[in-house]
Amino acid sequence: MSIWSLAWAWIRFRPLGAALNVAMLALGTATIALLLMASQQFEQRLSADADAVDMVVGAKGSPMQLVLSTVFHVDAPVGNVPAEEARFLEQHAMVEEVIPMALGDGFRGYRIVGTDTSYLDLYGAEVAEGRLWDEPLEAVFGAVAATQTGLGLGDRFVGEHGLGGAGGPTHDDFPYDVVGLLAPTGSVVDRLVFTSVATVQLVHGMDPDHDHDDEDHADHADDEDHADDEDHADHADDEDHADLRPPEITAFLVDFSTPMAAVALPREINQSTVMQAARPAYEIRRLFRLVGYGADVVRAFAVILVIGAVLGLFTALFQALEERRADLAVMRVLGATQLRLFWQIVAESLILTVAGTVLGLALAHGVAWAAGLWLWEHNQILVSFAWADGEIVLVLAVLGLGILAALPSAVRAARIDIPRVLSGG
Amino acid sequence: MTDDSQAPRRAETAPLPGEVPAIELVATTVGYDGPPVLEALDWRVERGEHWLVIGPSGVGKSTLLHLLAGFLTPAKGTAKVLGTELATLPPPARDRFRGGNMAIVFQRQHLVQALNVTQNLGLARRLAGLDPGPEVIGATLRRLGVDAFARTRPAALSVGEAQRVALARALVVEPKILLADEPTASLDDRNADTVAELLTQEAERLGSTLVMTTHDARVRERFARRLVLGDRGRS
Repeated sequence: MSIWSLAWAWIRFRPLGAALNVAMLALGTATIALLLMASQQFEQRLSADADAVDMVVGAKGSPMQLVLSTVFHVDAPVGNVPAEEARFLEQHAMVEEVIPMALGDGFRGYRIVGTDTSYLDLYGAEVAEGRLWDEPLEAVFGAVAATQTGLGLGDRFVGEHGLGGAGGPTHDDFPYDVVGLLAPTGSVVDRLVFTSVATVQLVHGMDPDHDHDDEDHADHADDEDHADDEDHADHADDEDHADLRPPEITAFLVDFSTPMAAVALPREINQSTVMQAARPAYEIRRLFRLVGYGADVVRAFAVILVIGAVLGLFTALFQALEERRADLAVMRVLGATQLRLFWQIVAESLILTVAGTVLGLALAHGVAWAAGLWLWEHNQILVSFAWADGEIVLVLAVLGLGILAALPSAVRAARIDIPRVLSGG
Repeated sequence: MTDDSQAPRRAETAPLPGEVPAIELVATTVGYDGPPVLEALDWRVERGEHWLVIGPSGVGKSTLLHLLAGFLTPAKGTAKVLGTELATLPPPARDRFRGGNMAIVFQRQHLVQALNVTQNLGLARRLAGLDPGPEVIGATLRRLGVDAFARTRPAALSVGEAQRVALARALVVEPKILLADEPTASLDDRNADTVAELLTQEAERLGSTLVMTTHDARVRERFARRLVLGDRGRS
């Protein structure tokens, strides 16, 4: 009868109490493990999207809103800037590449992005069916957007103001043709509908070919409402662009040619142009800090849950010790050393803690797996239930707490007064 | 009730010339907090002898057994068991010495409730540093007539059955010294007689030195040697 088999026998002797101890530990462990997995995947996903772009340049306003709207496509655009501002960026020595981006419309909740095909290279996106956009009003769907809207090659659709899907005004006179479908990338690309910048400008009453340097675009630069009240029907087949506004761009995605640009270029743009520059990597770190406060609160609750479970374990071991004082005294009579009794109690706690931890991790990964299936089926979001970095620390911490919970009982067991216990005292 | 085939036996029980005694107390004084319970006690027990320790309640019969088991150390004098002065051993060595050489039967059975009868005996052998010895366990249970309860938990045993199992647990480690502290006190006449008979028979078979405390008149006649304790343990 080894230490472990006797510990197991004692656990089996009080099955309900032991099961409750294990369940409490499992719940606490599962909650923390789920938080670790969720936060790691959240950070990895956002970081992957943010790392693809060195800098975003757009209308002045909130830099985080600029990044959220143009990199993650989860917020309304800040506004537009004159398209000609691209020249400043394209000619700058510290700039390797400039990718324009025109936003404003969506289709059934998926944003229509007017941009160059080079945008897709940032995320390694490839065409699964058809081809990339070339002519005006040609559209290419990301994998999730295609699946969820049910549109395929050759289908036609019209864009809606905003993200669409809310029954708002539509651009009925500018139907798009679906010419391509992209393969899944696991990035933001999957949830977008792509077309050319010129298409978005055309749909919103701008002249994509406008080249009047002497015009005053200031009126338009900060005008965010112009698209809503324009009558695009007038422009559909209008060969004379006299009524069209000069073209605007929502943002430029900039790739630096030198690391020095990370410091110098944003400052230069913010101080000497009508635009603002924002670093996605910086803004996303700021976002993590903000979101982190909320996650910390949830994590604190989970830690309290684990501590509660450990206290429950401590109480259970202490009560069990009182019931087993005679057993322990007899073990000493039979030749057990004080150290053996000490480890006997620790072993029992370890078995319960390991069971709770394993069950908790299995529960967390099971929930993540089920959530992953659901999210993929309903939103085509790929969620991994792989191990999070912090889980090994979690396991060690819970095991350490399990040993800690056993220490008072273990010390008490080792110091048991044999004559007094055996004489019924 | 008896089965000799698996039973270990020590052929020679009489003390050999020059052999160290099983127990040797010289001017031993021992007690708990407060005045001594046993004072200046001299006592020598040769190997294989059976002794009955008698006296009224509170004179130190149990204290004497606790001293012999190494739970207590003498305040004065010396107490040697099998030639070893237990007080000089560090606690872990004292525990191992006790487990390897002695067994104790109590008035209450003190079986581990979470284990069945066989497991209780297996635990005793493990703590005594012996191999699991399932054959020895089975034979011991048969000899004591409790083999039918091999897989029974202690809670399901009667007091008499439990005391025989406790006796089996003591015997299964083949102790050189068998201490019994009022083992028949809580038993009815029939069970008391059975336990006393088994105790002396099995001690005889193993060649174990037996020291039994009691104030139970029913078992006194089985012992030729008696240590009578009076005030503060003086005999």
